[in-house]
Amino acid sequence: MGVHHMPKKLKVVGKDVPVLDAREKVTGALEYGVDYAVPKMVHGKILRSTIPHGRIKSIDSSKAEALPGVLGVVTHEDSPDLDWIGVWDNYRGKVLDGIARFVGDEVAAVAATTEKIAEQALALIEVEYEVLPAVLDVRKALLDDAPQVREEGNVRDEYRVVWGDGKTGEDESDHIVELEIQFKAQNYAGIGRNACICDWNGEKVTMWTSSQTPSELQSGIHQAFGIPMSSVRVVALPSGCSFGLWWSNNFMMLTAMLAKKIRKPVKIELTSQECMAAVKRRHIEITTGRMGVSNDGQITLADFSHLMDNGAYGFKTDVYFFCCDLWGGAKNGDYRVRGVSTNLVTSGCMRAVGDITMGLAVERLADMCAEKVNIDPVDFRMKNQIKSGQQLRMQEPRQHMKGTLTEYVDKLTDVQKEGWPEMFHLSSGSTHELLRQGAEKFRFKERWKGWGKPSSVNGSKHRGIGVGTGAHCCGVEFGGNTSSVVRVNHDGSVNVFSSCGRQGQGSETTLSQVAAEELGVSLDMVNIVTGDTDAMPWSSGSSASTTMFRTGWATRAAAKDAKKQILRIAAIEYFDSDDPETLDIQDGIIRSQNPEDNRNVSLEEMMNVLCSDSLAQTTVITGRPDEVMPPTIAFARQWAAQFTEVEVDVETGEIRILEFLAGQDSGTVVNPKVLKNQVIGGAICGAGFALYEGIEFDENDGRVLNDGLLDYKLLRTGDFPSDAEVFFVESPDPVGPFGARGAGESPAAAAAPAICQAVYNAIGVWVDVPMTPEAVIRALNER
Amino acid sequence: MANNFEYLRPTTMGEAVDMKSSHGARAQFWAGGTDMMLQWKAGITDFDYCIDLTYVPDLDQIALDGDQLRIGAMATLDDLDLQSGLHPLTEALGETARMMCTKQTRTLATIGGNLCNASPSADLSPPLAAMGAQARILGPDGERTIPLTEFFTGVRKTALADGEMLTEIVVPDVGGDVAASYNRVARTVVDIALVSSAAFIKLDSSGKITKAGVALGAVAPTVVRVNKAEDLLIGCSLKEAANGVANKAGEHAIATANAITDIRASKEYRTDMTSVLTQRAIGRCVAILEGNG
Ligand SMILES: Cc1cc2nc3c(=O)[nH]c(=O)nc-3n(C[C@H](O)[C@H](O)[C@H](O)COP(=O)(O)OP(=O)(O)OC[C@H]3O[C@@H](n4cnc5c(N)ncnc54)[C@H](O)[C@@H]3O)c2cc1C
Repeated sequence: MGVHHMPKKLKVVGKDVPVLDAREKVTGALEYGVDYAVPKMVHGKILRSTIPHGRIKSIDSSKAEALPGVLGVVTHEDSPDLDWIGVWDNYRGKVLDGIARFVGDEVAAVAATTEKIAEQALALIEVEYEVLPAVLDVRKALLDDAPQVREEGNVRDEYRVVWGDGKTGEDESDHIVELEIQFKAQNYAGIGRNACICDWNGEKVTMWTSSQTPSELQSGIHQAFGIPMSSVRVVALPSGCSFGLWWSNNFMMLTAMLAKKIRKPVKIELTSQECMAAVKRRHIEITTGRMGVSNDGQITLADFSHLMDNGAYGFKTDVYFFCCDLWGGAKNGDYRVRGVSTNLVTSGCMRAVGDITMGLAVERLADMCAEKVNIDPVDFRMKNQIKSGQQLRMQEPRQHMKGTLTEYVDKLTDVQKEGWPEMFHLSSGSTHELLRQGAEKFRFKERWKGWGKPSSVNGSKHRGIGVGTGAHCCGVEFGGNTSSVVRVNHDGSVNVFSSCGRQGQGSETTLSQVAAEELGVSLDMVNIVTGDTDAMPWSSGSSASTTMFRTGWATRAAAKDAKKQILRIAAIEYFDSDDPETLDIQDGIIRSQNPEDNRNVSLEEMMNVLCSDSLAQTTVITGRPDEVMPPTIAFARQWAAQFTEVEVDVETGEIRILEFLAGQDSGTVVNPKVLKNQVIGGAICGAGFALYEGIEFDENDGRVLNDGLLDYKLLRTGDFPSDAEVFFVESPDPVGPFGARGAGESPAAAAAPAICQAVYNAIGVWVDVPMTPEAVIRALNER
Repeated sequence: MANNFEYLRPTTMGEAVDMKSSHGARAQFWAGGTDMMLQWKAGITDFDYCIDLTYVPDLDQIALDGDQLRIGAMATLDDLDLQSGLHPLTEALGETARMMCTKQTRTLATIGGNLCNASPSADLSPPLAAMGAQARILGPDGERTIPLTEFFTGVRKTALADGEMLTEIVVPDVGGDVAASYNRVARTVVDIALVSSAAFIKLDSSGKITKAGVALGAVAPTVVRVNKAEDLLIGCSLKEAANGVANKAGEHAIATANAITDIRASKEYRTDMTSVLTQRAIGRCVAILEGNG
């Protein structure tokens, strides 16, 4: 059964404990990928393509190999003839295949005794290309006669979500509004670079790198080199912020290729330019949409066509947009997404994928509809957004590992599904309570002056308020399941093994809290391994807001299993063979749940005896999930509603965010500090997307022009109100651990529309993102 | 990848200049290193000798000397901020400094470095140019003083000859009623100017403008003064300056700007903004002098 019951009083979950690695972080002791070193390590560098598309006719590395200090060069001739697939199809292809598909694409790599020699050697490699025509424009890439970036062709299958009927929707509409927005690609721009060290020793491959998906990286190496997973050990190190950048990346495979060739541990450390221009980015996305509304404020039609570019090696068919669930109250909906390849740096899933882009377009059209029928944005959202218990829109065609999700669910037995929430219906939470409480805290109704009307004007400074909403999944099972192992040691201490990496999301802390709570021990008795695949069960990593919900669920299930085993032995040995179900562990003491019963034994004593006296055929207790987790995608979502006031200087176009209030419903809050950090971090990411962020590609060869933070403008804390407030609505989830759900992505999705709407209200014109000073002035001039 | 270099530490200005003369183009002065370090790492600049000016005394003063304001080349942007209260012009320069970099970088970055780096978008050039500042230069052949506008000769190019160093910035004639203001458009809180403008005004005893300076940043290879706007301001009352003249001055700014389109902003936007920013700078000077600053 997948549903856990809420204990009466939580002791560790819900507590505002500081993240477990806080001390390591602030003292600088934490070792990230770039800091890490292993004995006998040498250095690698990557030769990158200078052209957007070309077939390598010849590659001569003899001069490079002759350079003193050079230990080996790998080219596509060394590459195994095997495709590997990155997490969520963010990469698909061979490690190297002799074709350069974007400026900056990997062409070869050198290992040398020093980084400097490796770099000098790169200049000595002579590459002759057969130049191929390149496609740098997303729309053009769709055309039949466009240069084809990949063997499979440029265009991926259309992904479609449909409900109701478009024609009916049109007929029911009193107003129909339309738009087309092209979103620039956001850069992950994580603070902190990455490096990869690989050692290929005999048949055993060990890789140390910053990654939030250790197990998938292990799978990737297994696929790319055709070696057993048991031979591959990934040690995922902490990364700086990642937002989806550091999953399994091809430069890691290239490091492995070098290590295999020279049989020494090799480290490739990326420069910040490489991190920002040659790994991954968000897709360029183009949304064309129509929305219809009837005079009573009911959305009658939502008709969207969305195009996203996969860059060179991405292979996604859709952006995983949950805005269609968010606006699920629309009577008729048709959302179509197509992915297309371009000769631009690979694109992939970045925080709030789909919902920060397509979601923003949907919010904009909804706002335009609300203005047509003169309903304020809070009321309009309440009227048209999904409520708990209602049917989800984004569901049926989705491919599960065993076919479509519907087929999978239909085939399960009633026993397997016992206690599951209703499939394809929203299990809990929504934006409604967030909007209600948020509007009250923000005094939205008092401050609202009407659509396109500033809340105040002082000379050239126009202020406006806005509200935006965002949704996202709480993990998706299509990429693979999740698991955790919980081990209880002789002294009653606990090790948790959960493959989720550490990119600052705080999962090592929150998962430890879940294990401690379930096992009835204090947090300091728990230690967690999040990165070593030799120790951890395979698990889909920290992506798609999965970790708290699904890996947290698995961790709790594993802890329950361990507890069950402990109580079974304890019942026999210490409680006169009572029913183990009558026992419990609290504060590290095993006792009867009957308060009158004074018998007790400490967990430590029981575990110690277990080991020395062989009470059972085991030494430690190892727990693992012993039940089926319902498919999350079919019922769980996370919600955000955010309110802001901005000030726009109508003479210069500069925008300042003056006030920010972020409401979040991620179910039970396992750790308020960690969740607040996710919400504010997400909001800043969304605000950056709204205001400044966007990759500029060279129009001639597609290279990334703003490959540094000088001209890729990230918001600093100083650009965001220091008194930004966060509030939580805790609609408990019936499945998530202690009622918790996902968190990382909806806050990013909500911020951008809130800011866009506030700017609209301040100046009376919609500005496409990024709303740079110049874009604002242009929009004002075009009015 | 950058080369190694030899680190030199002069303790007098004379020694610094000697070192520079003897090593020629292979040597570079090191002030705060905030520009240099990045350029060196990126391979934009390369040198065999690094002459650290940090230990040369008397280069970091910010002081009034009669009716001159003297700012040592090694005074930091943070010093400029901290000395805001010294004089109405340091008030304006302190405000400028606070727009620049971050507090951390400001404690390292020097005024001399900002000017010698000669970036078209450097924030200190427009206000200092508008104030009519002069650059004092020490070289193997002794000392010379030139107007700051002549100090800049192109993008990242200065009038410094072989072996010469910038020792201080002198703003003459700062007595009486003076005010200055610098305005810029930038993206995030830490950014370099997309376009900027500064104004300086000095009044005579009758309340008429006797001296005016208007200078634009990031719209040409070097800072440019808008002479026509300055001429227009001279002789005006503050009231006239604020009403109408500022507007015309803005038009002259537009005509003077020679902006380009790049990844940060378009030529058109930059050009249009010179007018807005110039009017604001003049307006602010007027407000300060009317006691409403
Ligand atoms: C994060 C960040 C933000 C920034 N923001 C801004 C900003 O908002 N506005 C802005 O204008 N700048 C900005 N800068 C640029 C930089 O900080 C300034 O230009 C700074 O003032 C340079 O001073 P420095 O002492 O560090 O110079 P250095 O880097 O030490 O020197 C710069 C150049 O000048 C030469 N030099 C220095 N002193 C002398 C001298 N006395 N005589 C002769 N040559 C000399 C050096 O040889 C070198 O070529 C920023 C830099 C960073 C890193």
